[in-house]
Amino acid sequence: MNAPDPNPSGAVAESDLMLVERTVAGDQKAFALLVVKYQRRIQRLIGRMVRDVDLVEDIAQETFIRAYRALHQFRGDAQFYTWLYRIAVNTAKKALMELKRDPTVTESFLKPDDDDETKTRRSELISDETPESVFAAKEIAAVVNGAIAALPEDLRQAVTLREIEGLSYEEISVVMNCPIGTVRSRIFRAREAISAKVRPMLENQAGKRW
Amino acid sequence: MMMKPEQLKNRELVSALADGQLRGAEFARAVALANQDGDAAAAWHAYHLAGEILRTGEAGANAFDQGFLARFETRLAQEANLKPALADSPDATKIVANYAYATRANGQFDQSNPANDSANQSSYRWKLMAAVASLAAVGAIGWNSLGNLPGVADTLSGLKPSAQLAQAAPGAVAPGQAQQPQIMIRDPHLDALLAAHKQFGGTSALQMPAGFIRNATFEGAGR
Repeated sequence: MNAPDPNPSGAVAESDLMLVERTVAGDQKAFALLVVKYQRRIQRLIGRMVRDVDLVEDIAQETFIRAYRALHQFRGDAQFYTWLYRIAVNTAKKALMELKRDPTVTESFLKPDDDDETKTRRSELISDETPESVFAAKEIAAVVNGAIAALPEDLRQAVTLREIEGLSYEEISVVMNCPIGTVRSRIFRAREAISAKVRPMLENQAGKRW
Repeated sequence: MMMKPEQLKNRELVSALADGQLRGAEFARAVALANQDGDAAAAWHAYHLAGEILRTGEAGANAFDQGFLARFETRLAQEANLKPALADSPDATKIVANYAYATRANGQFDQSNPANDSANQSSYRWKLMAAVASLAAVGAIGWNSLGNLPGVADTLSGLKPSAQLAQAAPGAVAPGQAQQPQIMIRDPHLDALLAAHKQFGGTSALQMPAGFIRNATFEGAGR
């Protein structure tokens, strides 16, 4: 089971390591940034192993708690997400083992052990997932994709190379034949254009628990 | 709604932080902004959500869940409440001292420091304690079992200094015995009875003939 590399940029790995170092040095808030950054990726990973949405949340929380406790052991040999991925898989497996031992838990809580991130998500509703939440998730995905499509070509190319291809600013500057400062500005403007569409949706849904 | 130039600048900083492009003072400023400034924090959240959707083509059921971090911080705070108890323990001083040793003067964690290796982990200490306790338990059980073996018990009792001394020098008296002579009152009838019924005697777990106890009980009941 290999942890996929969702963002191969060395700069991001170094930035994560810097956030880890700040946390270990006593700045607990630095870890909050890592939680926000990776919470969805970790929940998606666990969601492929566990059927129940609340259980996915609990296991994801436990994953970050364990990571926080063991943070001083993270040396930066692997990327932070790879390290976190292993903790998440182990935490989920342990939770599944405990569930299987519990006679009151039915098989409907569990999913087959397929934690390969390349596999597509199952289309059927999972426990506690409502048609409303599925619709909202599809709606926000459509809004983001629509916002990308509406971007000027240079902004779309810059943000696509960064977010989808995982290129560094230096690599994008070579591909697009422009200074690094321009790359930084284009990516920011693209994100702002997408964010302008996404933020109102997030604010409308704030306080709801999915 | 028009954004203030300062707000725009802060968001750009957060965007660059998301891509790992900041170092030094800029990095520290962006981290502080993303944590303390509401607008910058919302930007950090929205940028990562958009990035996830771009990479995966979908938004999970948790796409709108902005309470995950708050719940995580609550759990973490609950665990932190246990720390004062740790601070009272003698080991806590060592842990704090090790941490201070492992941390550079400028507050950065020094990974090259030997105090940060696995031997400094709390789990390692528990393993060591468990190993020592297990060894002590095995030793105690082994010593007791050895003492109960008949041949070994005789050997061990033969090694007692007072017995050795008594055998080597029959005339010599142990220090305690000189002041308090032990007198055994023997009953000739009991001795005769024991001699006649040796088959009912024997050695009990007390490592001494216990026949007289049974006989004494018998005699008591017959009285």
